[in-house]
Amino acid sequence: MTTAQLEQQKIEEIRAEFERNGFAILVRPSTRELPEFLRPFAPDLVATSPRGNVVVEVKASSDVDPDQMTRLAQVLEREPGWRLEVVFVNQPVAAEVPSDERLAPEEQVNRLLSSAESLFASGEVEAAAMLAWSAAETILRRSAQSAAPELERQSSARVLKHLYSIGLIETSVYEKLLLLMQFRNAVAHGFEPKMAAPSIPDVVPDIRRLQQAA
Amino acid sequence: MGTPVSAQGDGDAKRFWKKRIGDAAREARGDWSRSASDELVLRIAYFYIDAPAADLDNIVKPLQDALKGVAFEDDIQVVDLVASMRRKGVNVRVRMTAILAAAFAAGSDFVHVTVDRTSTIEVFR
Repeated sequence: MTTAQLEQQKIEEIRAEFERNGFAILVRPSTRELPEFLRPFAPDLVATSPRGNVVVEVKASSDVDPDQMTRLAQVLEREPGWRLEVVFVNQPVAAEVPSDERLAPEEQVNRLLSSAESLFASGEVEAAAMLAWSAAETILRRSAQSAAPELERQSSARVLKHLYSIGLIETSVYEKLLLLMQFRNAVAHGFEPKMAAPSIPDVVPDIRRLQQAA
Repeated sequence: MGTPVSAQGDGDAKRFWKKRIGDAAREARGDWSRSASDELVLRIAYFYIDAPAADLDNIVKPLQDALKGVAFEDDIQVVDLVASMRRKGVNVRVRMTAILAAAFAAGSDFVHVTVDRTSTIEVFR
Protein backbone atom coordinates (compact mmCIF):
# COMPACT_ATOMS: atom_id res chain seq x y z
CA MET A 1 0.00 0.00 0.00
CA THR A 2 1.34 3.44 -0.86
CA THR A 3 1.53 6.23 1.70
CA ALA A 4 -1.32 8.03 -0.08
CA GLN A 5 -3.43 4.90 0.28
CA LEU A 6 -2.49 4.63 3.96
CA GLU A 7 -3.60 8.23 4.46
CA GLN A 8 -6.92 7.60 2.72
CA GLN A 9 -7.51 4.46 4.74
CA LYS A 10 -6.84 6.35 7.96
CA ILE A 11 -9.22 9.16 6.95
CA GLU A 12 -11.97 6.59 6.39
CA GLU A 13 -11.28 4.96 9.76
CA ILE A 14 -11.45 8.28 11.54
CA ARG A 15 -14.58 9.32 9.66
CA ALA A 16 -16.28 6.09 10.74
CA GLU A 17 -15.18 6.59 14.34
CA PHE A 18 -16.52 10.12 14.57
CA GLU A 19 -19.78 9.14 12.86
CA ARG A 20 -20.28 6.37 15.43
CA ASN A 21 -19.87 8.99 18.12
CA GLY A 22 -22.55 11.23 16.64
CA PHE A 23 -20.45 13.79 14.78
CA ALA A 24 -21.29 15.30 11.42
CA ILE A 25 -18.33 14.87 9.08
CA LEU A 26 -16.84 16.83 6.25
CA VAL A 27 -13.95 15.17 4.44
CA ARG A 28 -11.63 17.58 2.63
CA PRO A 29 -14.22 20.35 2.86
CA SER A 30 -14.23 23.18 0.38
CA THR A 31 -13.40 26.67 1.55
CA ARG A 32 -17.03 27.76 1.65
CA GLU A 33 -17.94 24.81 3.87
CA LEU A 34 -15.46 25.98 6.51
CA PRO A 35 -15.84 28.61 9.23
CA GLU A 36 -13.80 31.69 8.43
CA PHE A 37 -10.98 30.92 10.84
CA LEU A 38 -10.32 27.62 9.04
CA ARG A 39 -10.38 28.95 5.49
CA PRO A 40 -6.60 29.62 5.30
CA PHE A 41 -6.09 25.91 5.92
CA ALA A 42 -7.20 22.85 4.00
CA PRO A 43 -8.02 20.34 6.72
CA ASP A 44 -8.50 16.70 5.82
CA LEU A 45 -11.54 16.23 8.02
CA VAL A 46 -13.81 18.40 10.15
CA ALA A 47 -16.12 16.74 12.69
CA THR A 48 -18.83 18.80 14.36
CA SER A 49 -21.31 18.12 17.13
CA PRO A 50 -23.11 20.04 19.87
CA ARG A 51 -20.50 18.68 22.31
CA GLY A 52 -17.50 20.00 20.42
CA ASN A 53 -15.74 20.19 17.09
CA VAL A 54 -12.57 18.56 15.84
CA VAL A 55 -10.25 19.34 12.97
CA VAL A 56 -8.26 16.29 11.90
CA GLU A 57 -5.12 16.35 9.80
CA VAL A 58 -3.87 13.04 8.42
CA LYS A 59 -0.31 13.30 7.17
CA ALA A 60 2.75 11.28 6.40
CA SER A 61 5.26 12.74 8.86
CA SER A 62 7.59 13.64 5.99
CA ASP A 63 4.80 15.82 4.53
CA VAL A 64 3.98 17.78 7.65
CA ASP A 65 4.56 21.52 7.44
CA PRO A 66 5.52 22.33 11.03
CA ASP A 67 4.73 26.04 10.70
CA GLN A 68 1.30 25.32 9.25
CA MET A 69 0.57 22.81 12.01
CA THR A 70 1.59 25.31 14.67
CA ARG A 71 -0.52 28.07 13.10
CA LEU A 72 -3.54 25.79 12.90
CA ALA A 73 -3.10 24.73 16.53
CA GLN A 74 -2.83 28.37 17.62
CA VAL A 75 -5.98 29.31 15.70
CA LEU A 76 -8.01 26.49 17.21
CA GLU A 77 -6.78 27.25 20.72
CA ARG A 78 -8.50 30.62 20.34
CA GLU A 79 -11.81 29.06 19.24
CA PRO A 80 -13.93 27.70 22.11
CA GLY A 81 -15.24 24.22 21.46
CA TRP A 82 -12.65 23.39 18.81
CA ARG A 83 -9.62 21.14 18.98
CA LEU A 84 -7.01 19.77 16.59
CA GLU A 85 -5.99 16.17 16.17
CA VAL A 86 -3.03 15.22 14.00
CA VAL A 87 -2.61 11.68 12.78
CA PHE A 88 0.86 10.81 11.57
CA VAL A 89 0.71 8.03 9.01
CA ASN A 90 3.80 6.14 7.97
CA GLN A 91 5.00 3.10 6.24
CA PRO A 92 6.61 0.86 8.86
CA VAL A 93 9.83 2.49 10.05
CA ALA A 94 12.78 0.50 11.34
CA ALA A 95 14.60 1.75 14.40
CA GLU A 96 17.19 4.40 13.55
CA VAL A 97 15.85 4.87 10.02
CA PRO A 98 14.61 8.46 9.79
CA SER A 99 10.85 8.74 9.65
CA ASP A 100 10.61 12.35 8.47
CA GLU A 101 13.45 13.00 6.08
CA ARG A 102 13.07 12.65 2.33
CA LEU A 103 15.43 10.50 0.28
CA ALA A 104 18.62 12.24 -0.83
CA PRO A 105 18.45 13.99 -4.20
CA GLU A 106 20.41 12.86 -7.27
CA GLU A 107 23.00 15.57 -6.74
CA GLN A 108 23.85 14.18 -3.29
CA VAL A 109 24.02 10.61 -4.58
CA ASN A 110 26.38 11.61 -7.39
CA ARG A 111 28.56 13.62 -5.04
CA LEU A 112 28.79 10.76 -2.56
CA LEU A 113 29.80 8.28 -5.26
CA SER A 114 32.50 10.63 -6.58
CA SER A 115 33.77 11.26 -3.08
CA ALA A 116 33.82 7.52 -2.39
CA GLU A 117 36.00 6.95 -5.41
CA SER A 118 38.40 9.73 -4.41
CA LEU A 119 38.63 8.52 -0.83
CA PHE A 120 39.34 4.96 -1.93
CA ALA A 121 42.09 6.18 -4.23
CA SER A 122 43.61 7.97 -1.22
CA GLY A 123 43.53 4.80 0.86
CA GLU A 124 40.60 5.91 3.04
CA VAL A 125 38.73 2.64 2.61
CA GLU A 126 36.40 2.94 5.61
CA ALA A 127 35.24 6.44 4.69
CA ALA A 128 34.88 5.39 1.04
CA ALA A 129 32.69 2.45 2.01
CA MET A 130 30.48 4.63 4.23
CA LEU A 131 29.80 7.09 1.43
CA ALA A 132 29.38 4.45 -1.28
CA TRP A 133 26.88 2.58 0.86
CA SER A 134 24.98 5.78 1.67
CA ALA A 135 24.56 6.45 -2.05
CA ALA A 136 23.59 2.84 -2.72
CA GLU A 137 21.03 2.87 0.06
CA THR A 138 19.33 5.96 -1.37
CA ILE A 139 19.05 4.20 -4.72
CA LEU A 140 17.73 1.00 -3.18
CA ARG A 141 15.13 2.88 -1.13
CA ARG A 142 14.09 4.79 -4.22
CA SER A 143 13.56 1.48 -6.02
CA ALA A 144 11.55 0.27 -3.05
CA GLN A 145 9.22 3.29 -3.31
CA SER A 146 7.68 1.79 -6.43
CA ALA A 147 8.48 -1.91 -6.06
CA ALA A 148 7.63 -2.34 -2.37
CA PRO A 149 6.55 0.93 -0.72
CA GLU A 150 6.14 -0.69 2.69
CA LEU A 151 9.88 -1.37 2.74
CA GLU A 152 11.13 2.13 1.95
CA ARG A 153 11.98 2.81 5.61
CA GLN A 154 12.84 -0.66 6.75
CA SER A 155 16.37 -1.70 7.63
CA SER A 156 18.94 -1.48 4.84
CA ALA A 157 19.47 -5.24 4.94
CA ARG A 158 15.80 -5.88 4.48
CA VAL A 159 15.51 -3.48 1.56
CA LEU A 160 18.56 -4.92 -0.20
CA LYS A 161 17.52 -8.53 0.26
CA HIS A 162 13.94 -7.96 -0.78
CA LEU A 163 14.89 -6.14 -3.99
CA TYR A 164 17.25 -8.99 -4.81
CA SER A 165 14.60 -11.60 -4.03
CA ILE A 166 12.11 -10.00 -6.42
CA GLY A 167 14.66 -9.89 -9.21
CA LEU A 168 15.53 -6.20 -9.31
CA ILE A 169 19.21 -6.84 -8.50
CA GLU A 170 21.43 -9.37 -10.25
CA THR A 171 23.15 -11.95 -8.07
CA SER A 172 26.69 -10.68 -8.73
CA VAL A 173 25.68 -7.11 -7.88
CA TYR A 174 23.75 -8.25 -4.82
CA GLU A 175 26.82 -10.05 -3.47
CA LYS A 176 28.97 -6.96 -3.92
CA LEU A 177 26.39 -4.74 -2.23
CA LEU A 178 25.98 -7.20 0.62
CA LEU A 179 29.71 -7.15 1.27
CA LEU A 180 29.77 -3.35 1.07
CA MET A 181 26.85 -3.13 3.51
CA GLN A 182 28.38 -5.54 5.99
CA PHE A 183 31.73 -3.76 5.90
CA ARG A 184 30.04 -0.41 6.32
CA ASN A 185 27.86 -1.65 9.18
CA ALA A 186 30.87 -2.94 11.07
CA VAL A 187 32.69 0.38 10.68
CA ALA A 188 29.62 2.54 11.35
CA HIS A 189 28.80 0.75 14.59
CA GLY A 190 32.33 0.79 15.97
CA PHE A 191 33.49 -2.72 15.13
CA GLU A 192 36.48 -4.08 13.26
CA PRO A 193 35.22 -5.61 10.00
CA LYS A 194 35.85 -9.33 9.64
CA MET A 195 35.83 -9.10 5.87
CA ALA A 196 38.28 -7.37 3.55
CA ALA A 197 37.43 -3.86 2.44
CA PRO A 198 35.27 -3.85 -0.68
CA SER A 199 36.70 -2.55 -3.92
CA ILE A 200 34.96 0.76 -4.49
CA PRO A 201 36.03 1.05 -8.16
CA ASP A 202 34.46 -2.38 -8.66
CA VAL A 203 31.11 -1.68 -7.01
CA VAL A 204 30.44 1.97 -7.92
CA PRO A 205 29.68 1.25 -11.63
CA ASP A 206 27.05 -1.28 -10.49
CA ILE A 207 25.57 1.31 -8.13
CA ARG A 208 25.40 3.82 -10.98
CA ARG A 209 23.61 1.26 -13.18
CA LEU A 210 21.04 0.72 -10.41
CA GLN A 211 20.71 4.48 -10.18
CA GLN A 212 19.79 4.64 -13.87
CA ALA A 213 17.21 1.92 -13.45
CA ALA A 214 15.63 3.25 -10.23
CA MET B 1 11.85 19.36 27.42
CA GLY B 2 14.49 17.21 25.71
CA THR B 3 15.73 13.66 26.17
CA PRO B 4 14.82 12.42 29.65
CA VAL B 5 17.25 10.98 32.16
CA SER B 6 16.51 7.56 33.57
CA ALA B 7 16.00 6.80 37.23
CA GLN B 8 19.08 4.64 36.73
CA GLY B 9 21.11 7.65 35.62
CA ASP B 10 23.98 9.03 37.68
CA GLY B 11 23.68 11.83 40.22
CA ASP B 12 24.79 14.72 38.00
CA ALA B 13 22.59 13.77 35.05
CA LYS B 14 19.56 13.27 37.26
CA ARG B 15 20.14 16.56 39.10
CA PHE B 16 20.42 18.40 35.79
CA TRP B 17 17.22 16.83 34.48
CA LYS B 18 15.29 17.50 37.68
CA LYS B 19 16.39 21.13 37.64
CA ARG B 20 15.31 21.42 34.02
CA ILE B 21 11.88 19.97 34.77
CA GLY B 22 11.46 22.13 37.83
CA ASP B 23 12.36 25.26 35.88
CA ALA B 24 9.97 24.37 33.05
CA ALA B 25 7.17 23.58 35.50
CA ARG B 26 7.64 26.88 37.36
CA GLU B 27 7.51 28.75 34.05
CA ALA B 28 4.40 26.88 32.90
CA ARG B 29 2.33 26.85 36.08
CA GLY B 30 0.96 30.38 35.69
CA ASP B 31 -1.67 30.95 38.36
CA TRP B 32 -1.86 27.25 39.32
CA SER B 33 -2.30 27.22 43.08
CA ARG B 34 -0.70 24.36 44.91
CA SER B 35 -2.82 22.81 47.65
CA ALA B 36 -1.81 19.78 49.71
CA SER B 37 -5.41 18.57 49.69
CA ASP B 38 -5.84 18.33 45.92
CA GLU B 39 -5.96 14.94 44.27
CA LEU B 40 -4.10 15.11 41.01
CA VAL B 41 -3.64 13.33 37.71
CA LEU B 42 -0.13 13.42 36.25
CA ARG B 43 0.08 12.82 32.51
CA ILE B 44 3.41 12.19 30.85
CA ALA B 45 3.94 11.73 27.13
CA TYR B 46 7.46 10.95 25.93
CA PHE B 47 8.11 11.16 22.19
CA TYR B 48 11.50 9.97 20.99
CA ILE B 49 13.49 9.93 17.79
CA ASP B 50 14.79 6.53 16.66
CA ALA B 51 14.92 4.86 20.08
CA PRO B 52 13.77 5.67 23.63
CA ALA B 53 16.26 6.80 26.24
CA ALA B 54 14.94 4.41 28.89
CA ASP B 55 12.01 2.27 29.93
CA LEU B 56 8.88 4.22 30.70
CA ASP B 57 8.89 3.45 34.42
CA ASN B 58 12.44 4.81 34.71
CA ILE B 59 11.36 8.02 33.00
CA VAL B 60 8.35 8.66 35.19
CA LYS B 61 9.98 8.63 38.63
CA PRO B 62 12.55 11.41 38.12
CA LEU B 63 9.84 13.55 36.55
CA GLN B 64 7.49 13.08 39.43
CA ASP B 65 10.26 13.75 41.93
CA ALA B 66 11.12 17.00 40.15
CA LEU B 67 7.54 18.23 40.24
CA LYS B 68 7.27 17.83 44.00
CA GLY B 69 7.30 21.24 45.55
CA VAL B 70 6.49 22.86 42.20
CA ALA B 71 3.24 21.31 40.91
CA PHE B 72 2.22 19.56 44.13
CA GLU B 73 3.30 19.27 47.74
CA ASP B 74 3.48 15.51 48.15
CA ASP B 75 3.68 12.47 45.85
CA ILE B 76 0.66 11.00 47.62
CA GLN B 77 -1.48 13.64 45.92
CA VAL B 78 -0.84 11.97 42.53
CA VAL B 79 -3.71 9.50 42.52
CA ASP B 80 -3.77 8.99 38.77
CA LEU B 81 -0.67 8.51 36.66
CA VAL B 82 -0.91 8.22 32.89
CA ALA B 83 2.30 7.69 30.95
CA SER B 84 2.93 6.91 27.30
CA MET B 85 5.90 6.80 25.03
CA ARG B 86 5.90 6.67 21.29
CA ARG B 87 8.29 7.19 18.44
CA LYS B 88 7.91 10.78 17.30
CA GLY B 89 5.73 11.23 14.23
CA VAL B 90 5.38 7.52 13.47
CA ASN B 91 1.83 6.23 13.30
CA VAL B 92 0.59 8.25 16.25
CA ARG B 93 -2.56 10.28 16.75
CA VAL B 94 -2.11 13.37 18.87
CA ARG B 95 -4.43 15.98 20.23
CA MET B 96 -2.26 18.82 19.02
CA THR B 97 -1.65 22.08 20.79
CA ALA B 98 0.68 24.87 19.74
CA ILE B 99 3.20 23.77 22.38
CA LEU B 100 3.10 20.19 21.12
CA ALA B 101 3.35 21.32 17.51
CA ALA B 102 6.56 23.18 18.31
CA ALA B 103 7.94 20.13 20.09
CA PHE B 104 7.09 17.85 17.17
CA ALA B 105 8.82 20.26 14.81
CA ALA B 106 12.02 20.34 16.85
CA GLY B 107 14.65 17.74 16.04
CA SER B 108 14.90 16.05 19.41
CA ASP B 109 13.08 13.86 21.91
CA PHE B 110 10.65 15.62 24.18
CA VAL B 111 8.52 15.00 27.21
CA HIS B 112 5.14 16.66 27.61
CA VAL B 113 3.82 16.82 31.16
CA THR B 114 0.50 18.01 32.51
CA VAL B 115 -0.84 18.10 36.04
CA ASP B 116 -4.57 18.50 36.61
CA ARG B 117 -7.02 18.04 39.44
CA THR B 118 -8.47 14.60 38.95
CA SER B 119 -12.10 14.13 37.94
CA THR B 120 -12.32 10.44 37.11
CA ILE B 121 -10.46 7.21 37.77
CA GLU B 122 -8.11 7.23 34.81
CA VAL B 123 -7.47 3.50 34.83
CA PHE B 124 -11.13 2.83 34.06
CA ARG B 125 -11.37 5.41 31.27
